[in-house]
Amino acid sequence: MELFKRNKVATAVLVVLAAVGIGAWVWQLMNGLTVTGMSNGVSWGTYIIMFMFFVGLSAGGLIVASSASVFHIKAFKKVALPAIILSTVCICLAGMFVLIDLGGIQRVWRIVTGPNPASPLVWDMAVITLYLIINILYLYFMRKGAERAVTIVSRFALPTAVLVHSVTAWIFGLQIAKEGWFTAILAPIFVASAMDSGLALLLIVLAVLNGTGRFETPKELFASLAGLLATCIAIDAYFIGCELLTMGYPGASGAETLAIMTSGATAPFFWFEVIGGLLIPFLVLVFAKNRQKTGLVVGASVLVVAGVLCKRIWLLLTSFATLNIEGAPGVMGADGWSLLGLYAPTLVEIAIVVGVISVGALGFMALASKLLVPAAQTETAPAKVRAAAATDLDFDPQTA
Amino acid sequence: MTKYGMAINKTRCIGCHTCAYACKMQNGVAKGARWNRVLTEGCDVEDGALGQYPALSRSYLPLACQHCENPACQRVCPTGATYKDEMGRVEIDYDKCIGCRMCMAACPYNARSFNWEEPVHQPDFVYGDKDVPQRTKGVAEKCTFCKERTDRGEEPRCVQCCPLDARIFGDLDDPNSEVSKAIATRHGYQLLEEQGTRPQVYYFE
Amino acid sequence: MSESQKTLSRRSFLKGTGAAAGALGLAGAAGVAATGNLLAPTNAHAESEERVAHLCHQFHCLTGCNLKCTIRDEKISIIEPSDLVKDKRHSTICLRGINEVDHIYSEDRIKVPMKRVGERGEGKFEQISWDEAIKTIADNLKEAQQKYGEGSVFIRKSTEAGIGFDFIAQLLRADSGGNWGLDRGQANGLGPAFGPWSYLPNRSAWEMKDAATIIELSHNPLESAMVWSRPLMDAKEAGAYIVCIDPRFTGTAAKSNEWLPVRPGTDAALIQGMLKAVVDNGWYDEEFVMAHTSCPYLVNRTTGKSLRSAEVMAPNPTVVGAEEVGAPLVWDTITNAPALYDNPDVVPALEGEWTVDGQPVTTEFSLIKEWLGTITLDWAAETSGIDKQVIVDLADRYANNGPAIIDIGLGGADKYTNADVLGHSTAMLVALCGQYGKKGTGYGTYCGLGANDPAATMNYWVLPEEYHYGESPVAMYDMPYTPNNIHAALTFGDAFTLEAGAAQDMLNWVKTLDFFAIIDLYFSSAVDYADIVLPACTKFECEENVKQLRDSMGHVMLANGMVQPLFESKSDLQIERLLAAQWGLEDLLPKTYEELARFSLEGAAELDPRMEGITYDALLANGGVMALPETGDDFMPDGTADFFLTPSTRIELYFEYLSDQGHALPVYEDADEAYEANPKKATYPLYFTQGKSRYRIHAYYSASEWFQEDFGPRINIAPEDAEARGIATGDDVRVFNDRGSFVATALVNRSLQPGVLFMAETTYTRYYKDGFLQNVTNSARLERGYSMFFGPQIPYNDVLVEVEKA
Repeated sequence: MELFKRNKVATAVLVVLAAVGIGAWVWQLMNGLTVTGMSNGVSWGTYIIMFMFFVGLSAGGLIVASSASVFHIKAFKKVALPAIILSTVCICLAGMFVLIDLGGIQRVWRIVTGPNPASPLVWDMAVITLYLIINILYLYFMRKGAERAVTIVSRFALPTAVLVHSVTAWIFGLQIAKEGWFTAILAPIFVASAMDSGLALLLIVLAVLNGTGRFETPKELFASLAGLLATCIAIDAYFIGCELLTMGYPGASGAETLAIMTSGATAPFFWFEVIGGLLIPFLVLVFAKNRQKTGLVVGASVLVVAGVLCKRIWLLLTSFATLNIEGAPGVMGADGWSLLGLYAPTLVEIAIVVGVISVGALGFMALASKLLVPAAQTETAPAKVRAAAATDLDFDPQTA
Repeated sequence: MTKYGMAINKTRCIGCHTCAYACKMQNGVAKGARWNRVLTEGCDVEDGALGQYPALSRSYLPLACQHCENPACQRVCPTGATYKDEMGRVEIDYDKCIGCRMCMAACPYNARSFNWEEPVHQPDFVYGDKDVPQRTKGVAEKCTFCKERTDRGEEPRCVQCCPLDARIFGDLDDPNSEVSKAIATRHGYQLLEEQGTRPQVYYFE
Repeated sequence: MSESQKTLSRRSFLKGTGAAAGALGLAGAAGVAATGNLLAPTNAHAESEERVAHLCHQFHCLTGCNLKCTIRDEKISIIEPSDLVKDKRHSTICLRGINEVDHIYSEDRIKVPMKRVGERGEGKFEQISWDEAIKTIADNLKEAQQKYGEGSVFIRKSTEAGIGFDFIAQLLRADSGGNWGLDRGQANGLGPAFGPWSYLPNRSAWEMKDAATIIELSHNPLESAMVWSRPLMDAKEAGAYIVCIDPRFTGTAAKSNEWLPVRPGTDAALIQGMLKAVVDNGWYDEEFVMAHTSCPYLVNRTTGKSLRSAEVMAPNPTVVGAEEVGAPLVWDTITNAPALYDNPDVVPALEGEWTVDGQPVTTEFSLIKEWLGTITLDWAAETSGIDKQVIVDLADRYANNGPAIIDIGLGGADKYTNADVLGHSTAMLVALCGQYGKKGTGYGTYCGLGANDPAATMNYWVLPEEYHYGESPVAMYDMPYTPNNIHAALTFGDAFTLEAGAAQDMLNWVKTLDFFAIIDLYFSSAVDYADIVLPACTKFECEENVKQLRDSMGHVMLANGMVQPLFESKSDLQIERLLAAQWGLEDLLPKTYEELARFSLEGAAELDPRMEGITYDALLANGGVMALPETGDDFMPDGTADFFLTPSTRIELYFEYLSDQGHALPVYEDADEAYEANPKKATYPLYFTQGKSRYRIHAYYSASEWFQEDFGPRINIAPEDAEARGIATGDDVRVFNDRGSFVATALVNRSLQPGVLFMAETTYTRYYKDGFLQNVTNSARLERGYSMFFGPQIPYNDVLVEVEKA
C-alpha cells in the first residue's frame, strides 16, 4: 500500500473522516433517519443526491476505457486502468449511499427474495450490481493482460454504463407525481451528465496522478479527453435546454416548477450549474489552446463536477418544493406542519457523506497502489502509441 | 369481486377534523404523523379563504390514501411491501418494507408518513384498535381503509365518526352500493385525475 | 349474562388481579420499546384485556354526546360514538371527544395536591399530602368566616364541574358570585319579549330543512358545536338559502349562500334596517302580529307605561322582576274604548291615538313605527357596513319568502355592551314577520338545548334547609371594582380568568385575597395564583364503577366502567366529601356516585311516567343509556306561538321596565368600545374579537397534545392589517391596549374583515409566550344591565387593540 505510506497525513485524515462517518451511520441506525434533514414533505435528500452523483461519476471511467476497445480509440487504453479503478470506486460509493438511505436496511434481503419487477429501484440495484461486476472483471482482465477478454467485457461495459444511468434516471423519470422528474429526456440527461461529470473527474484524477508521478497521462491524450469533455458538456446542455423549453413553454404546471428552479429555493444550484457547470467550462474547453493547459482543464473539470452536483441537488429538491395538492396545514412532519418542502442536510448527513467519500478515496488509493504501475516503470511506453493516439482522435469539436 | 372505495361529500364536509383525529386514534398514529389530513384548499393558513374580501370562498379537502386502482406507490415498491389486496385496498406489509421511500416520492397525494424514528406516542401507551399492527422506525405507513375494521365488516373509523355523515364507504364493484350510487348520481370526481392513478376515493359536491 | 354484568365482572377481575394486568401492560410496552432493536420484526399488540365504558361527554358544547370507550389494560384506548344511542342523529362524536384519548393523559394534568411556595402568579409549588391540603383549605375558609362572616368565602364551580351537585358552597353558605355575565346579552333583550328561556328554540332543529331562509346571526355551529351543524347542512342540501351575519368569514359563513360581514358590535343596526324595511313596506304579518304579539297593547305616551287592568291580573308575572302586573289593555274598535287584550269579542286597533283619563294613549305598534321613523336605511348601512340594498333584500327574503329561521349564537354578538338592543331588535323582527311557531320558522340558538333536548325527571339531592348558598351582593366579575367582603376563595375549575375580562384587574384582586384554593384538571390560567391546588379527575375516571348521571338528547345516561383516577387525583364528589368532613358534615352528602344516582332515579317514575323503567339497575343493564319515550328519528317537537312565558303570554315587544331608561324600544346605541367613531381608534385601531374553535370549548382542551400539534394561541389578522405592520404568518406579535398585552402567533388570514382581529377563546397562560388574551379584554358594565334578567354581560369582544411584531 505504497500510496498510504507516501501520503501519511492525507491517509490519517481520511481514516479519521471515514471513522467519523461510520460512527455517524451507526448513530443513524440507532435513532432512525430522524437524524437527517428529511421529512414527510422532502422524503429524499443528500444521500439520494450523492447516489445520483456517484453513479454519474463512475461513468466517465468506464466509458473512456471501454471506448478504447469498442471504438478502437487506442489512446484511451493508456488511461483505461485508472479510469476503471475510479469507476469501480464511484459505483461502490453510489451503492453505499442507497443502502445508507434505507430506513430498514435489516430487511434489504427482501429485494432479493421478493423483488417487484415493476420497480425501477429493483432494476437499478440489479444493473448497478452488474455494472460493478463488469468493472471488477475489467480490472481483473486488464491486470492479467488478457486483451481479448478486455475487449469482450468492454463490449458489455458500454451498454451497461448507458443502462445504469438510464435506470437510475428512471427511478425519478417514471414518477408521474413529480412534475420536475417526469420526462422522457431524463435518461439521456443522466447519461450526458454522467459522461461530462465522470470524464471531468477522470481528468482531475489523472492530473493528480500526474502530479504525484504515480501515473503519467500523455499531454495529447489529456487534451483530447478535454475535447471529449467539451462535447459532452454541449450534449448535456442541449438535453437540459430541450427539457427546460418543454417545461416552460406551455406556461402550465411545468412553468411553476421551472420558476422554483430559476427564481425559487433551488435557483442558486440551477444557475450555478448552467453558468458554472456548463457555460464557463464549455467556453474554456472549446478552444484547443486552452485544452493544452492542464490548469485550465482541471479548473474546468472541477466546475463541471460541481455543476453536476448542483444539478443533482436542484433536480431532486425542486420536485419536493411544493405539494401537488395545495392547502394548509400541508404535510405533517416531526417539526410540525409544513406547506413547503424544506430541507437542509444535518451534520450527521454531512459526516456520513464525507465519511463515505473518504472511504472511497482510501479505496482508490488502495486499488491504485496495487494496480497502477508507477510512471517510472512505464517510460518504455513506445512513442508510436502516442503518435497513433493523436491520429485516432476524431472527437475534437474544433475539427469535427 | 369487491373493490372498496369511498365517496366524500364536500358540501357536507365542514372541515371539523374529526376524521383526522379518529384516524390517528384508531391506528395508533404517532406524534408527527397523520394518515388523514383536512386541508383548507389552496390556502396557506388553516381556515383561510380564497378570493378578495368580501367575495370569499373556502372549501375543505379531507385527504388520505386514495387507494388507487393504479397505485403509483405499489408500482415502484421494490419488495412488494405495498400491495393491492383482494378487497381493492392498497396495503403495506411492514415486514417487507425496506424504507427506501420510493412510494413517498411516487404518491401524488403525499398520503404517506415515514417513521423517521421509533414512533413516539402521546399518550405513551398503545392506543387504538388492538388489531392494528404497530410500526417501527424505518417503515412507511398510511391509511389502510381501516383494514382491521373493514375486515370485521365495520366502516372505517373516519366514516363512523364523521359528524356530518359526509363519508360513504362501500363496494365500487357493486353498482347498487351507496357509494357507487353517490358517485354516479352526484358526479363524483377523483383527485389529480390526470395522473392516471385512478383513485378509489371520490369527492362530490 | 348481560353486557354490563360482563363489564362489571371483568372489571372486578381486573381489580383483583391488578398486578397481573399491570404486568400485561408492561409486557405490551416492553414489546414496543424492544423494537428499537435493529432486527426486531414489526409486531402487533400483545393480547390484552379490553372492556367497554359509556358516558355522557361535554355539556359545555351543548351537545352531550354519549361516548363508547374501549379500555385496554386500564387505559382508555378508543373513544367512539355510542352504540347505545339508537337514534342515529344523536349517536355522535367530534374531534373533542376523540382527542380525550390523549387529553385525559396529558402531561399538563395536575397530578398531585400542591401548595404554593413562590409569589402568587409565579407558579411555584411543592407537593403536599391530601390531608394537609384539605386541612389547609378548611382552616383558611374557617378563619375567614370567623373573622369576616359567612359571606366572606367565595365558592364557584365551572359549568361542567357544576353539573349534578354543588354541596360545599351550600354547606358553608358561601357567596357563589351572582351573575355569570356569560353570553346572555341577546337573551337579555329577547327574554322579556318571548320569555326568559326563549333563546332556546321551541321547535326542532331538524326542521331547518323546511325553512326557505336561515339567518345565522352571529352563530357558528360549524366550529363551535360540530355535531349540531348537521341540521343546518341538511337544510343546505335541501335547498334552504343561508345567510350568515358575522364580522368574520367563519366556517358557517363559508357554507352560507351569503355572508354579510357586519362591523363588530353593530349587528343591531343591520337588524333595525331590516325592521325599517319590513314596516315601511308593509311586509309584516298583520294576522300574526294581532294574534300573538303585544303590538296592539296601549301605552301612555306621557308616562311611557303600559295601560293595564286594575282588576284583572296578567297570567304571568313580569319576566324581569317577577312582579304581578295587571292584564294589558287594547283599543276596542267596536266600543271605541280600552278593553282587555284577551277579550274574544274585542277587535283591537293596531295603530291609533286616543285619550284615556285625560292622558294621550297609543299602541305599541304606533310607537314602533314612530321609532323606526327616526332611523334611516342609510344610517343602518353606514353603521353596520352592510349595503342598504342588501339589507332591504334580506328583509324581503326573510319576511316574504316562506318560512324562515333566525339562528343566533350564544357568544359572538353577546359579548358587546349593546347586545340587549340586538336581542330586542331581532325579537321584534321575528314577531312582526310572524316567523315563529310554524313549521320551518323559529328563533333562538339552534343547538343541543331546547326543544330537541327533552329533560328527564330526576330527584335532586337536597341538603337540610339551613345549608344554602349565601347572598351574592356583588357579581364575581365585579369584585375587583366593587367593594365586597370576599376574603377567601375556592373554585372548581378556572373561574377568575375565564369568567371575567381584563384579567390583570381580576388577578390583582385575587392576589389581595387572604386565601385561594383551586380544584382543577389542568394547569389552567388561574392555578398559578392559588395557595392550594387539588387534582381533580376527569369524567372518565372515578373511584367506583359509575359516575355522573345526566340526561342528554332525550336519554338518561349513567357514566359507568370508569378507570381509576389517574395520578393522585380524586373525583369531585370525594373531594367535596373530604372538605365537608372538615366541618363534620360529610354525612349530609352521598357517599358514592352510585348512591347519588340511585337516589336521583328512585321513584322518578312516580313523578313522571316517562321515567317508567329507568332505574339504576336497568340503566346499568343497558350499558348506562336509556331513552325517554319521545326520542327517536321522528321526534320533532313543534312549539307554537300560542303561549309565551310573558305576563300576557304573548310576545311583548314594548319593555315597560326600561321605559325610564329610554329603552322600552330597542333604541340603538354604540357598543362600549367597539364602534367606528370611537376616538380610541386613533390609538387602538383594530377590533379584537374572540370566539369558538373546533379545538376548544372555551379554554378546555388547551392541554391536549394532539391539538397542540395543530393549534395554539394564534391571532388571525387580515392581510391588509398585517402588511401595514410588517407582520407575516408565524411571527410572534404583541397585542395590546391600555388594559394589558399578550404575545401570540400571527396568522395572516383573508377570512377576516380588515380592521378586525380574531382569536379562539382563552388558552391557558402557559401556552403563550407572554400574557394571555384576557389581558386586553373589556370589563365595562352596561348600567342598564343590572336591571336585566341575566344582568350585565361581560363584553369580551367589545375591545380595541393595536398589534405589533413582538
